[in-house]
Amino acid sequence: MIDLSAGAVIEIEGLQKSFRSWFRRGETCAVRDVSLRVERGSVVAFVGPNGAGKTTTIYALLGLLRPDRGFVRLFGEAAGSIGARRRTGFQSEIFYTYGFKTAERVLAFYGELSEMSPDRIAKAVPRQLSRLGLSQTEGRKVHGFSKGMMQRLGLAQALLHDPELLILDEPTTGLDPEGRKLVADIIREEKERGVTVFLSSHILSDVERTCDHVVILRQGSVVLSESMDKLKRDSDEWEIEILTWTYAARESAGALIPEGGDGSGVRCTSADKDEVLLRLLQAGARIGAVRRRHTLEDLYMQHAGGSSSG
Amino acid sequence: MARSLVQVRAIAVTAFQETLRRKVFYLVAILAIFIIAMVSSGRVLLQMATEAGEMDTAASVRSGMVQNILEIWQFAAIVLALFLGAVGVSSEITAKTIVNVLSRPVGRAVYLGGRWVGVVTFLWLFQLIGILVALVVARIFDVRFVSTLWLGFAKMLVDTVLLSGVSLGLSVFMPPVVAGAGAFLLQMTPGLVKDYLQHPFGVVRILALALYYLSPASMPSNLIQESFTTQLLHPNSSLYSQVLFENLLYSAAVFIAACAIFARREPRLR
Repeated sequence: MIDLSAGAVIEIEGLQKSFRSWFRRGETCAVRDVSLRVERGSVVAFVGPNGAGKTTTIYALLGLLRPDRGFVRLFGEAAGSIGARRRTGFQSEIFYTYGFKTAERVLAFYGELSEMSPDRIAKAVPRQLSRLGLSQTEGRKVHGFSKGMMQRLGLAQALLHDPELLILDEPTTGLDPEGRKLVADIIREEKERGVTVFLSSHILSDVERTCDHVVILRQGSVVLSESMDKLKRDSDEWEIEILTWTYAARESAGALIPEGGDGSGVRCTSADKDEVLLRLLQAGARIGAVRRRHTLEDLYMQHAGGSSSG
Repeated sequence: MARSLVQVRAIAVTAFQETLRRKVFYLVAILAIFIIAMVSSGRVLLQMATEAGEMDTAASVRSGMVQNILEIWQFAAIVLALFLGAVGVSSEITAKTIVNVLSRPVGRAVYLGGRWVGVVTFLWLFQLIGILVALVVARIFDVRFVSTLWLGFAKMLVDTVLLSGVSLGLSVFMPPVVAGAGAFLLQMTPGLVKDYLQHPFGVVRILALALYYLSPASMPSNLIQESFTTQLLHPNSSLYSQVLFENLLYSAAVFIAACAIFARREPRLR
């Protein structure tokens, strides 16, 4: 069982990483002064637009890239150390593997690299294949797999050795809604087991469904790091969905109807909510739903929006 | 230690399977078979010589056929060794399969060792096929050879270890094409600089001497060719063994240096 005593699983302090182009003699700063701490057992989302530096940070966590400045520690050890990698499971954005192997052989191969015993591999491989809905692929070469199946296999290999830390880089890319739900369920199951999950994604609905903490990265820098609870608490805006408008209701709502929207609802603050609802009902409007506004998307657009490249 | 060996084996098996699926292997093998088939047209000459009662000529044609098989096959093995060594790591970087391997508790030396073992095993099997065919042909045509042929076979195997090791080692810090060419040049260096060892200019002499000792040892004679003649130019087996041993050590030294460099390098994954 995983030790759930307090302590940071991931510690990043002042991470900076640039890439030099030898011929062009140019330099691209992929990550600048990133600091963050991921506590044991938490599920942290690392979001940001393409080129924001998410994958670079993940590669630094795995020791595949060395920081130009700052330090990265996993379980108190230097990132990339054998000890740290032993306790980590990683799924890359696109799972690149050996197409000539079958799914079972692919998993057995990664199991051997993860220092698993043959007995443990023999038990874990069918278990993970079944968990990820890949049992029916028995004996099939991986090169014939669809993108979604490859993603599932990528997650299976990350989970194979029961790691204490899961680093998932865009795990739902290429998955259908069923697959996305499966990934979310697995993340929840792993969290219940005490596993720390570091999830890079820009599918915000997935992040909202599964994460405790969100870190927004833009152009290589952390622009927001906040717990999901706090974000939800701080959200002061409500959305009232109107099924049927009346002339009086529309008059009453007035400026509360957001400009540029589809006109199917009104927005108001917590303080005004009761009064607005009462006015709308009195004016004959039929209310569909009352909910807090989709804050993560707004926050994302506020902090990371408008930067198409990093 | 045992865990590392399991990892080396897993990586080696994968490298072997990968190599077996490389088009270049089939291209080189088919080309080698084609050239051997062309050279085997010497059978007509053999028949003519036998019918004319020219027994010496017939014997020389027969041994020439076996030599040709061995030399052509060895040339193919050398081309493959240079190529497979040079792309051993870079192909994994290009395919990005290296990410999922190095994110596991796998040491860089274990990874590099596994790739090398896989490539060398493949090359040795490839060479053994050629050797086996040559021995069968020698048996069929009753070709006589001396015991140094076995040392010649050992040299063939050591050469592929050396060339694949050097090109793999160089490929961790230079592009694969340059690594392959560099490994080939390095093996040719003793022959290229030999004439400059007695050069009147001291600087040239020192440079030639340095290059001579920095490059792998060269065999003083063609063991395959001379195994089919009655008289050896350098009938000193211990010297041949020493050259083979030195080249194995050279391969090991290059591998250790490559591991040290690879451990400090970032794979170019972007």
